[in-house]
Amino acid sequence: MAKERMKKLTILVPEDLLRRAQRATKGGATPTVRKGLELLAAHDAYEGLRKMRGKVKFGLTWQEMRGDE
Amino acid sequence: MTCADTSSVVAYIQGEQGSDVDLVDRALADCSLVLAPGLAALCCHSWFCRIEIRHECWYDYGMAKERMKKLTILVPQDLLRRAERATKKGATPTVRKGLELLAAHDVYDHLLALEGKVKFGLTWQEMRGEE
Repeated sequence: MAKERMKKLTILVPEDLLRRAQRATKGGATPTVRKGLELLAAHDAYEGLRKMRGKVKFGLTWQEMRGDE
Repeated sequence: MTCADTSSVVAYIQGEQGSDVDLVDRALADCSLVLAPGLAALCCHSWFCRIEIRHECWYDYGMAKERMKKLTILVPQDLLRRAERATKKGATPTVRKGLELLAAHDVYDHLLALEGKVKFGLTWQEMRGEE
């Protein structure tokens, strides 16, 4: 396992926003901030997928991929 | 992301069955449901309303001096870099945006808890003005 490189951040966030986010994650401040960053990072993946629209041709149909045919 | 129309959300909340209701349920579960402003306004409660969320943001950031909390945290560099790329902003706005997304989860959970528990006085056709 590689030890991932970490960055120390000191930030100001609205108390109420942090409280509502922590209520959703049921975790502390650090796991909550990380979870939020993960959600944003996933947006990047969705954007990548959207950019692929109409640009990729598959060798199999979706039915074949599923094993339906 | 799924944009639900009035009929599907109303059917969902009323506990009806159907493929569109299943889609609403799934979209709520993964927090990808988008509600039309009119529909959100119609169901305007603190737990439901996107308009309220927007209002809160506007009020918080623009009008009142909100109470702030200083956080010092360790985050993976790569994760921060990818999140900043998504927002095209610096560390602080990126962290805030992430917290806003999480805070919205709470709203979706409240909506999930409502399934089958609310009866509307109007049908969705009446809400749309089709009847």
